[in-house]
Amino acid sequence: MLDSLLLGFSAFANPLVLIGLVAGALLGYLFGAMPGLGPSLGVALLIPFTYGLDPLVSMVTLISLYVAAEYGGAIAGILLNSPGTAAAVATTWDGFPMTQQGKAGLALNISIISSGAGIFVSTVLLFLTAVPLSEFAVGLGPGAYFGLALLGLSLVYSFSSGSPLKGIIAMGIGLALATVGLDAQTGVPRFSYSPEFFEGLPLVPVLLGLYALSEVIFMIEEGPAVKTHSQPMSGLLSVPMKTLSALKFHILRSSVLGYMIGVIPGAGASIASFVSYGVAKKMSKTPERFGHGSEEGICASECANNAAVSGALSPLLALGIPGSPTTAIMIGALMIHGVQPGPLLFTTAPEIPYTIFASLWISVPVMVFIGLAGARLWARVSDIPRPVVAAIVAAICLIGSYASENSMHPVYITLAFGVLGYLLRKAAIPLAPIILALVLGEMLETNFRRALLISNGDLGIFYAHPVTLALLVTAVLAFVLPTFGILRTSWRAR
Amino acid sequence: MNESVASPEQKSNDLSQSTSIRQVSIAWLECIFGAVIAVVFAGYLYEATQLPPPFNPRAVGPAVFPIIIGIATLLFAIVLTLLGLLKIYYRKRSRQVTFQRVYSVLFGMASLIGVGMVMEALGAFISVGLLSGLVLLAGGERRPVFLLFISVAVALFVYCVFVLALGVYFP
Repeated sequence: MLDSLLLGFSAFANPLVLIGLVAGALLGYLFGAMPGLGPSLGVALLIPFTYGLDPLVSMVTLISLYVAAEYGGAIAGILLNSPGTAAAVATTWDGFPMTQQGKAGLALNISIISSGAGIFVSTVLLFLTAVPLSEFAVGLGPGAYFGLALLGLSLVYSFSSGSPLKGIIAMGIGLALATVGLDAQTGVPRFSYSPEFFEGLPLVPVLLGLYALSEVIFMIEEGPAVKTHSQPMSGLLSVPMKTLSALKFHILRSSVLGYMIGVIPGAGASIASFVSYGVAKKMSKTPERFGHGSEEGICASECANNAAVSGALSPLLALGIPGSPTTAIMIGALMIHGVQPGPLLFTTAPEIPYTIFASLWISVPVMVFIGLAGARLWARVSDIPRPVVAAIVAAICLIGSYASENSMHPVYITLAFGVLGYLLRKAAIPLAPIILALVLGEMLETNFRRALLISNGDLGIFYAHPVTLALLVTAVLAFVLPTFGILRTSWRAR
Repeated sequence: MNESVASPEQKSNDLSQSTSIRQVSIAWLECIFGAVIAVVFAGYLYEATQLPPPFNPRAVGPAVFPIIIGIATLLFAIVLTLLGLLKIYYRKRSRQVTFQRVYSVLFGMASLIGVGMVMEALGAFISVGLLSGLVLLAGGERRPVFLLFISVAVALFVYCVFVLALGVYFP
C-alpha cells in the first residue's frame, strides 16, 4: 500500500500534474467564490478542457478544483454574507459578523487554515479506509453490485430538498435516459432513433446542458441588476498561535465527523458543516458567541465541509458509487478517459486512486497559500458582471460539447438539456437525481440481469449471500424509512 | 438601488424588469410538468413494450427494466399532477415561481438554439463570438464596445485554450 502511495506521489515529478493541481486550485477558488456557481458546475465546465490531457493530469486538476471550490465558498460568505456554496452557509453565520467587527482577515484565515486541516486529516482517513473497502468489494458478485447501485440511488431523498416525489420522478427520468442505446446483453437498440444514439446518451453534453447551460439561462434571467460589492479586507491577516492552539480539538473532531458524514452517500458537505457546527456549539465553553463571530464556529464548519470532500471520494473510488452530485459528475470525467471507478480500479489502474490521495495532501499547502495570498482578489470575484460570466459559460458549453465527440450531435444534446434543465429547476424538480440515475442506471440493470442469468432466473441469488441481502435491505430501508417520515410529518401538519 | 448612482442603462433595465415579471403558482407548474412527464413516459412505456423478448427464456429481456421504470415514473408523474390539481382546486397557498425578464430569457434561449444550429456552417469561433455577444445582450448588456470586446475576447480565449494549448480540431 505504501509502495502504491509512493507511486502516487511520484506522479508529481511530471510538471504537468503539478500545473494541473495549481490551475485546478485557482479555478476552484474562482468558482467557489462566485455565489451561485460552485463545485458541481465548475467540474462539469472543466471536463471539456481535459479531453486532450493525460488521465492523471485530468483527475488531479478536477479533484483540485473540487476541493478549492469548497474552500472558496466561504470567501463570499465571510465578506458578502452570500455564501458561494451551500456548504459555506454555516461559515457565514460567524464569518460575516466577524467582518462587521473589522476582523475579516482573521475570519478568512481561520476558514482557509481549517479547510486545509480538514482535507489533510480526512485524506489520512480516506487512505486508511478506501483501500480495504475496495479489497472487500472485489469479491462481491453481480447481486451485491445490484444492491450497491440500488443503495446509491437511495440518495435521491437527500438530493431532492423539499419534495421526494419530484426527486423520484427525476430519478425515473435519469434511469430512462440510461436505457437509451444498444442493449449491452442482446445488442438490441433501445429508444435510439438514430445511429448516433447507439452508444447511449453521452454524459458530458448532458452534464454541460443540465448544470452549466441551464445556469446561463438563469443568469440571463437575473440580468445585470444583481450586483454585489465586496467589503474591503480588514483586521489581522494572520492567525495568532493562541487562537490556533485553542482550535486544535475542534479541527480534529470536525475533520473526523466531516469525513464520516461525507462517506454516507448523499449526505455531503452541507450536512457535514451543519452537524459539525451544532456539535461544536454544544461542546464549546462559549456557546453564546456562536452566530456572533465565533472562531470555533468557522473552524467547525470549514473543517467538516472540506473533510466531506475526501469522504465523498471514498465510495466513488472503492465502490464506483458517487457520494455527492460533484462526484457523480466526476464519474463522467473518469469514464471519458477510459477509467472505470470501483474496486478494480486499485488493481487495474492503481496510479489513479493513489495519485488522487497524493494530490489531496499536496493540495493542502498549495491551496492554503493561494487562499491566503489571493484573499483580496477572491473577495472581488463576485463583482464580475453576471452577463459576462454567462457569456463565457455559454461559449465553453458550446465548444466543450462539440469537442467531446468532434461532431454536432453532442451540441444538440447540450442545448436540449440546457433548456430542459432550466424548466425543471423552475418547477423545483432537482437535477442531481437525474445525473445520479444516469450514472448508476447501467450498473443497476446490467448487474440485475447478470445475476439472474447466473442463477438461471432464481431470485434466491439476491438473498442467499449475506452481503447482498444486507445491501438490498439497507437500500430498501433507505427508500422506505424517509417516505414514512415524510408521510408522518405531513399527517401531523394536518 | 440608489437612484443617484444608477446609469441610464441600469434604469432602462430596471424598467424592463418591472414590466416583464410573471408569477406562476408552483401548483400550476407541478400540474403542467406532471402531465408532460406522464405523456412522455406513456410513450416511453409503449416503445418499451415493443422491444423483443430475450433469446434465453430464463434471462431478463431488454424490455423489463424500461417497463418497470416507465410504469413507476408514469404513476409518480400522475400523482404529481393530481396533487397540483388538488392544491389549485382547494386554493391551497403555494409558493409563487417568478419568471423575470421573460422576453430576454426567450431571446437567450433562441440565441443558444439558433447559434447551435448554424455552428457547423459558421465555424466554431465565429459561433462562439456571436453566442457570447447574444448572451451578453440577453443578459442586459447594452454598451456596443463592451459587447464587441467580450465577444472577441471569448472567441480568442477558446481558440488559444482549445486549439493552441489542447490541440482540438474545430470546423
